[in-house]
Amino acid sequence: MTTLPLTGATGAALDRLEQLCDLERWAEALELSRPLVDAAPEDDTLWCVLARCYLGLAQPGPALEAARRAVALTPDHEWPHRLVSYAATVLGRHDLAVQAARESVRLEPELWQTHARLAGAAGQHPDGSQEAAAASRRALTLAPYEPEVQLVHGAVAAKQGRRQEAERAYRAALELDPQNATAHHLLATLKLRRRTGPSGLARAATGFATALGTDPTAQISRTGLELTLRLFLTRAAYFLFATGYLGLLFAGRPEPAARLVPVLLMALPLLFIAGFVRALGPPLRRYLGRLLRRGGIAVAVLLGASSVALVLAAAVAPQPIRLALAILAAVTAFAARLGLYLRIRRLGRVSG
Amino acid sequence: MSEDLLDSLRTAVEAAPDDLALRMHLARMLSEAGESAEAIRHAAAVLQRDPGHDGALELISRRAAPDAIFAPPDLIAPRADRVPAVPSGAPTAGGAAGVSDDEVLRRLDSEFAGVVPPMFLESDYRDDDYDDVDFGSETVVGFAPEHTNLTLADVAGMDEVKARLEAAVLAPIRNPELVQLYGKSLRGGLLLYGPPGCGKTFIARALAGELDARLLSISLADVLGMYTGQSERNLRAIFEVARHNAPCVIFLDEIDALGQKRTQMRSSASRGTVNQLLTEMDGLDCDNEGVYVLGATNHPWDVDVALRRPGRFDRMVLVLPPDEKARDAVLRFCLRDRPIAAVDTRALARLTSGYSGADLAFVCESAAERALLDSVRTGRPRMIEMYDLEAAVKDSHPSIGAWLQTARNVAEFANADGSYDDLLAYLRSRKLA
Repeated sequence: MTTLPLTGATGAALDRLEQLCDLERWAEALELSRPLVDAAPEDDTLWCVLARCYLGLAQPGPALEAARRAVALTPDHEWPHRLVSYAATVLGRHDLAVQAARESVRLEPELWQTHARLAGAAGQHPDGSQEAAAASRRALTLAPYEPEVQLVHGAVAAKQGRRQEAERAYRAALELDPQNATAHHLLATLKLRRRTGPSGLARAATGFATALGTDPTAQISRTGLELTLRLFLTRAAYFLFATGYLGLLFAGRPEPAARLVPVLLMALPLLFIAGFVRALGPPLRRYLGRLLRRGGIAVAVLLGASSVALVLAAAVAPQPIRLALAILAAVTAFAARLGLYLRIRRLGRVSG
Repeated sequence: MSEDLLDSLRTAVEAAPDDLALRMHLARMLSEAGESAEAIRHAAAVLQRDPGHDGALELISRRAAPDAIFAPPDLIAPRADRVPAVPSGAPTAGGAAGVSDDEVLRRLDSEFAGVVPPMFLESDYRDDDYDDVDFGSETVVGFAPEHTNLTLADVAGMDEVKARLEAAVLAPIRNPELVQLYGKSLRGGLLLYGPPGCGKTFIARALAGELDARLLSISLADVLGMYTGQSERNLRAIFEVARHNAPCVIFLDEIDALGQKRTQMRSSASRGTVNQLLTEMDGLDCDNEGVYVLGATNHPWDVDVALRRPGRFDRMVLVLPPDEKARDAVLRFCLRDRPIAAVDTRALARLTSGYSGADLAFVCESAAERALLDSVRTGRPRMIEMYDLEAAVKDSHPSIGAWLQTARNVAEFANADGSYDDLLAYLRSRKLA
C-alpha cells in the first residue's frame, strides 16, 4: 500500500486519522494529516488521506492535487486513481474522471469500489451511459450486499429511463440499510418523476420526509418535499378550476339530471385531495395542515373552498341568482388560483 | 534626545513616507522623547500601510494608555495572546498584583468621573455580579478533575433551562430519601443540546458547581487515541478517575462525535469507542454511585440510539440561544476589558434576539475593529461607542440559521417519540415550523 514502511508514530497517526475520517471530522483530520504529509511526502497513503479530507471539506481542487501526488508516487495502486476520479467528477472534468476510474478498474478488476466509481464517473459523462451501465452491473455482481452499489446501479438505471430497475435497486439498498437517507430520497424522487396519482404523490412526500428524518442535514430532501407539496397544491387547484368551469356549464341547464353533474364533477378534485391526504402519515399531515394555515396559502385555500361551495350552490339555486353565483364562483376560483400561484412561487424561492 | 536629529528624521520620513522602518524608528524616538501624540500618529500611519505591524501595535498600546484612561488590551489587536506593555504608573484595567479588576475599574471610575462618559448606561435591572460569568471559556482538562465555583446563579437568564435542570437532576440528587420513597433511579445521564455557541459548556460547569462535585471535562481529542484500542482505554480511565473522585461530573463535550450512530461508522475502532462508553455508563463491573454524566451536542440526532436508552442519556435539555437577560450579561462580559463609553448593553440585547453567545462576542469584536480602524485613520485612539456596536449588529446575522434548518427537519419528521417537543415548540414560537 505504501512506498515506505510506516514508522510507529505515522502508523498510529493513521489509526487516529481513520477514526477522524470515520466521524467525518474532516477539518481535524486535515489538520493532523498536513504535518504528516510534510514529514513523509513519499507516503502515498497520507496523500490519499489528505485528498479524502479535502473532499470531505468540499474542496475538490486541492483534493485532486493531493490525489495526483499519490498517483505519481504509486501509479499501480487503485485508490489514488479512484480519488482523482471522484475529485474530477465534482469539478466537472468528466473525461479525466472516467479515465482515472478506468485505470482503477484495470488495476483492481475484482474490487467493487472501482467499478462503482467508474459507473459514477461515466454516468456523469455525456457519452458514458453504456459504460456506466456495464460498470454498475459488474459492481452489483461483485457486491450485491453493498447499499452503495445498489444506489449507484439504481442511479445509472434511472438516468437511462429504466425506472423499474432503478426502483428495485433502491429498494434493495433499503433492505440492506433501512436508515439509508440517500435511498429514501432517490426512491421518492423516482416516484415524483412518475405521472402518479394522489397516492403516488403522497408516497413521494413520505419518502422525502423519511429521508429528512433519517438525515436532517439533507436539505435537498426538504426541497424535494416542498416541491411535492407544491405539485399537489397546483394539481388540486387546476383540478378544482377545470371541474368548476365544467360544472358551471352544466349549472345553467334546466334538466334536474344536469344539475347533478356539477356536484359529481366537484367530487373529483375533492377525491383527489382526500386520496392524497389519506395516504400521508400523521407527521406529514400535520405539516401539510401547518402549510395550509400559513397566510397566503390559507387565503387561497379558503377562496378555493368558497368557489366549490358557490359552484354547488349555483347548481341547485333558482334561475334568478344562478348567474350571479356562477360569476362569483368563477371570480373566487380565479382568485384562489392566482393567490396559490403567487404563494407557491414564493415557496419555491424559499426552498430553492 | 536631540531635536535636530528628530527634525532630520521627520524630513526623511516626509521624503519617504512608505519607508515603514524609518517611520517606526522616528516613532520610537518620539516616544522616548515624550512626544506621545506624534509618535502615535506615525505608528498609526505605519498601521495604515501594514495593519499587523507588531512594533506599531505595541507602541500604540504603550502610548495610548494614558490618553485612553486605561490600557485597552483589545483596542490595538483583538488577540488574546497579545499582552500590552503598560508603563509603570499608568492605570490598568487589571493585572496589578493584589488588586482585582473590579477594584481597578472602581478606582478609575472615581478618578475620572465626569472626565469620560461611563462605560455602561445602566438600565432597569442590574444583576450584582457578572464577573464570575465565563461564557466564552472552554475547559480543557486532561483526566484531572477540577473544582468549579460556578453555580446556576452565575448563569444569567435562561430560567427555563435552569428549571429543567433543577427538575431533572438537582432535585432528585438533593432529595435522595424522596427518590428512594418513590422508587426512582438516580442512574442515567443528561444530554444538553442546542445550537452552537449558546453556553452548553458553561451550564455544565455551573451544574457541577451546583452539585458541589468535581468536574471532568472531556472532549473528543481527550479520548481519541493514537493506537487501536487506546480510545477505549482512555474512556475507561476517565470513568475510573471519576469514580475515585466521586461526587464527580463527567462532562462529555461533542457527544455526537464520541457516541456517533454506529450505523454511520465504517471503522471498528470508532464502534469500539461507543461500545466502551455504553459499558462505562451502565457501570456493570463497577459502581457509578456519585458519578453524573453530562453530554453536550449540537447534533443529538447523530447520537447512537443505544446511548439514549434509559439509564444512559435518557433526559435531554434544550439549551437555546441566550434570552435578553443572558445576552445583556454576555455583552457586558465581552466588553468589560475594552475601552467603551456610554454603551447600553440592554438596548443591544434587545437588538440581538436569536444571537448565540459566540455571535455576541463577534459583534463586540467587530465593534472594536471599527473603533480601531477609526483610530488608525484619525491617528487618535477613541473609545468604542454605542454606534460602533449598533453598526456591528446591523452588519451581522445570527449564526444558528443552518442549525435551525436542520433542527426543523428533525422536529418535524423525526420526533415520533416526542424527544424534540421542546425544540418544536421553540421553532413554532419563532414561526420556523
